[in-house]
Amino acid sequence: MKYSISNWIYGDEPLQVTFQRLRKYGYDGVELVGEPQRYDTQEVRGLCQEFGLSVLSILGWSIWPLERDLAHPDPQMRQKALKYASECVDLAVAVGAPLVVVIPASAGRTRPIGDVSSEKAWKEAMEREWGHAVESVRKAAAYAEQKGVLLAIEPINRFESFLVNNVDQGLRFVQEVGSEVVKLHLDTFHMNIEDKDPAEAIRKAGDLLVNMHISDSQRGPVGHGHTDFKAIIRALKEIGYQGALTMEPVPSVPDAFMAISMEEFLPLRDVYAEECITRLRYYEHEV
Amino acid sequence: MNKIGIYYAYWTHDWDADFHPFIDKVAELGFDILEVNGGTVARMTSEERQSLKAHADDKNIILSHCIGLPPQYDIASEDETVRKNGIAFLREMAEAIGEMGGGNLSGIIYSCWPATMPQGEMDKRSYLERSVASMKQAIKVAEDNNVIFNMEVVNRFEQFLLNTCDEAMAYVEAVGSPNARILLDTFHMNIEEDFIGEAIQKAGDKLGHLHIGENNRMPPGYGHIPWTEVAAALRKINYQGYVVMEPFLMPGGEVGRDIRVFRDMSVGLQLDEEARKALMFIRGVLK
Repeated sequence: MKYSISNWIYGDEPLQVTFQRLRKYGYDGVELVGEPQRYDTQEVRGLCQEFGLSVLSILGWSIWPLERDLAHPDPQMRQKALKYASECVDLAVAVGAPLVVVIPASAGRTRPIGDVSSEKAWKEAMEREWGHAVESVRKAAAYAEQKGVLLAIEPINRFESFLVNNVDQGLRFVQEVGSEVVKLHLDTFHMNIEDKDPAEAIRKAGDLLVNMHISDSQRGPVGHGHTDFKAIIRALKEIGYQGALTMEPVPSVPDAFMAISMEEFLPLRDVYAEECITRLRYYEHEV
Repeated sequence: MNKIGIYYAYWTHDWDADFHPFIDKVAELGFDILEVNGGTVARMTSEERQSLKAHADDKNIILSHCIGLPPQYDIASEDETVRKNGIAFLREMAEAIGEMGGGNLSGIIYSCWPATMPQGEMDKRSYLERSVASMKQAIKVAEDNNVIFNMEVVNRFEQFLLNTCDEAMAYVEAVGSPNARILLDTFHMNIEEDFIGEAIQKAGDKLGHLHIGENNRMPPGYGHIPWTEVAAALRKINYQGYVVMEPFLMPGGEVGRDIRVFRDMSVGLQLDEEARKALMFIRGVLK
């Protein structure tokens, strides 16, 4: 298994600083926020060489204007979302990342668009948007396939998205898209809320699982909460997981984006990075 | 043995309901308590309340009351009129419950639901101060009417003021009334508390009410909540209060929308039968 950290948790910290931290604590690579305009890809490649790290994934949709909504009922909006998806794929190619994490409906949107006051209207709108999202990801996949990049669908908890919340829905989504390059991503924080048994969810995902986000039950660093990481590592070993364990520990406060901009978090960036890898490595050797 | 109850909204799509049929139903299923919506009870006529209470007594069912205050009654609001209306509403509910012989009113009665941290806000102290000042006024009526107010600790996605038992303990202390206690809920604790059993023990004799449900709001027994840890902690603090389950399985309607049930979790399940099974399960756990 490879160890990585998602750099959204460091806000606008210069990559140089992030890379120094990752190397110091023995990480293999980094996940870059999918903001294609933000990076000088030459510089990223140079830093990778300098620090001996790789970009292991691109985190698409980490901020969520409607222009990135693959499930939106308006075809023009979906077109914009597809453009964004292709830009993320291009970024992946430019920095040598094997995959892009995809959230199939705008994160932060917790209901279908339009009047959904009745149960019937709600169900119809859900199905409609699910269909749009499947079709959009299929189109994005055609582009990704040409470029040799994987797309990993991320189920996220009910408070942050309404479309794909748990492993079963994620697997159904991947099957419906039916592309060789569309796989699954799982996140221990979201699974703690939505999945009956996170370790079992990993076993269900099996070969389709290509990327993991790691934080404890309250979104803090590994070991601060009650997520059973030993069981998770055991399940990952059982399925022969070769992907990254991508850490995203943040302070446990009401809003994750507020959390990362808190001054108190600055000195904790190193502490959390060290805690996460130390504890997971221990489990990796133990199980 | 603790008295065990269930929330009526397990069976409904809307928050307003006629509670009479549910009294018969939960008595038939073997429960001790029916938890109802405090707002609906306050809007009933005195005669309607007496009839509800008589029906419950006849079936040997205890009524407990719960509410998440709507935004127009937010007692932590910056708007004084809203706070005044909220205090008046809490008083109405306390008097209505008092008229039925007293009991409890639990839930998000210290602010409103659902509510996330206002955009750009970095400090919640002023909200807490206003809430405590309002609660000090409202709870006098609870004291006069033999009503306990239980402050519900909920996850960050539904409210931002009281997310952990520690925060609720500080709040209850600041209110300083013997009628102010805490409601803990296994679903919310799974997201926010480092360790669930530890949180219950911290609450100690301030724990006035307990909600139970799985990590994904399925009935107890269908997820990864550590029930033996919960039971051990309750025994340690000698908790004699009510234990009320709040499963939510059906999407759509006001309830599905507000609870964010975005997938039909009742597929293949018969609601009454599941309630009966969960009751047996939890009696076994608490034995």
